[in-house]
Amino acid sequence: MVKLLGAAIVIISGGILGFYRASRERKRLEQGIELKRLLYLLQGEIRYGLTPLPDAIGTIAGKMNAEFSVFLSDVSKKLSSYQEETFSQVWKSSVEKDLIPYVLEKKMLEPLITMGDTIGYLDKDMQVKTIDFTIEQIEERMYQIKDQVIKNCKLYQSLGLSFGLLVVIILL
Amino acid sequence: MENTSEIYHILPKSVRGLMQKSGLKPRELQEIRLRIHQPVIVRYENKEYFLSTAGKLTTSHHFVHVLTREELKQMMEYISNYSLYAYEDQLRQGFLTVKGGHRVGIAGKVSIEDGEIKTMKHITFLNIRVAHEVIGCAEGIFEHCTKDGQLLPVLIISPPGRGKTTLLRDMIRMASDGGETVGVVDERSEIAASYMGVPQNKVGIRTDVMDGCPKSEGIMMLVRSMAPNVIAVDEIGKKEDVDAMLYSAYCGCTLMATIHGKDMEELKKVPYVGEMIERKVFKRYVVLSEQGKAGTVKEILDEEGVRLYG
Repeated sequence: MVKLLGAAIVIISGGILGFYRASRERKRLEQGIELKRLLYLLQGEIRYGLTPLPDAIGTIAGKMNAEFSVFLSDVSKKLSSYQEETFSQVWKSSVEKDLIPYVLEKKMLEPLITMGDTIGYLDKDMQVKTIDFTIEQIEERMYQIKDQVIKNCKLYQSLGLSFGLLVVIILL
Repeated sequence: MENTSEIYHILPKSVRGLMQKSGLKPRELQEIRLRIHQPVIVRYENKEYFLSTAGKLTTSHHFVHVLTREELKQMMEYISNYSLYAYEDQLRQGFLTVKGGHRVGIAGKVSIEDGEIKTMKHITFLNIRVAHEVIGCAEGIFEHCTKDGQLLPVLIISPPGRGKTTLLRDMIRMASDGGETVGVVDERSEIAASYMGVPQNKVGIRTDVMDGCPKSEGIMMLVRSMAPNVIAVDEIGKKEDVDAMLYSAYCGCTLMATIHGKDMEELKKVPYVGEMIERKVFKRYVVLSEQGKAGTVKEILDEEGVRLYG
């Protein structure tokens, strides 16, 4: 009886481990979607409200999930302090501090950092196009990893269960 | 305006440090002029000074802080809140209003498209005009512009830089706090000095401000939408401004306006405005003096040109 209970616990643990790894894989894509949402919101603030960046970023911070919200609030606070020299410096340092440790697909952050170098400059159309271009690059990266993510999800789920079974068989 | 922190914020960090070191009295600071590869010039207590590298005001050309391109670039980032796109319209007009109601005049390379100014690039000359709100400056004048407790249509006549906008602003505040619903069309953001729609100057509790809007269109919009008792505008002169003002007067609004000029007689010869004087649209003319302290009232006349004050 105890053996059976132990075996069940090992199999279930293996399964949970597999599901956990699979959910992390899915998060790579979900974070990409969240990043796109952030950029669309920013684009809307600029296109329809002509809102200056510190206010626009501060406003959308309240509409994002906790991790992205921390990043945006940090940027908005730094910009409003008038202590930093350029937008690009503020943006880059905050991406490095707040997003790199959190976002799993680091390559998606590269276009985001580059966007910081050109945004705020020239007219409204330029901002809209710059954000569109960043979204395109993030979408491209998402497209590249999509198949891999689906494959890995299935793999981790079945591997987790198989690993649990294997341990049980060996131990029995 | 006792606080200069808004102005210091928009200065490049190096200049900001020097200005803070200089310990100037905020009230006496009038203007800061920044030109590429030239010394920073500060107008303080009606005199012109250079900003020295030691953070002092000096009249000597030696050891003065010379502005670099990087500093100007940094300053534009601060002035525009890192967002030049949000100020396209203001750039086209050649100035930006910053927090605190201060005006930053800009000059540089202008881009033209289809014969019209598209924007300004390579901004290399800046002039910060420090806003000095003088609350209470209209107190001695306001009573002469009323009859049986009713505000009369007023035209403030003044040479440039003699305080007509400051006086108008305070008259608006007094009328508004006194119970009148005032509609202000602030074409150049000088009256209310709105920043993102919020008046930075005290314009009263019953005042609605149409900021950055051409006078003629703004007057029509306010009359239609906000039902003001009083319409206030700065620097009238164009035909369409006069037409819109006449329209609002026929709708029952009391007018308050300012105009560049020396006296009532001179204005009678000015097209459109002369007609308004002939038709006795204004009942009071406040004429500011060319000499003495800014804001000194030379005389107040009624619609017949009879002197009531001064």
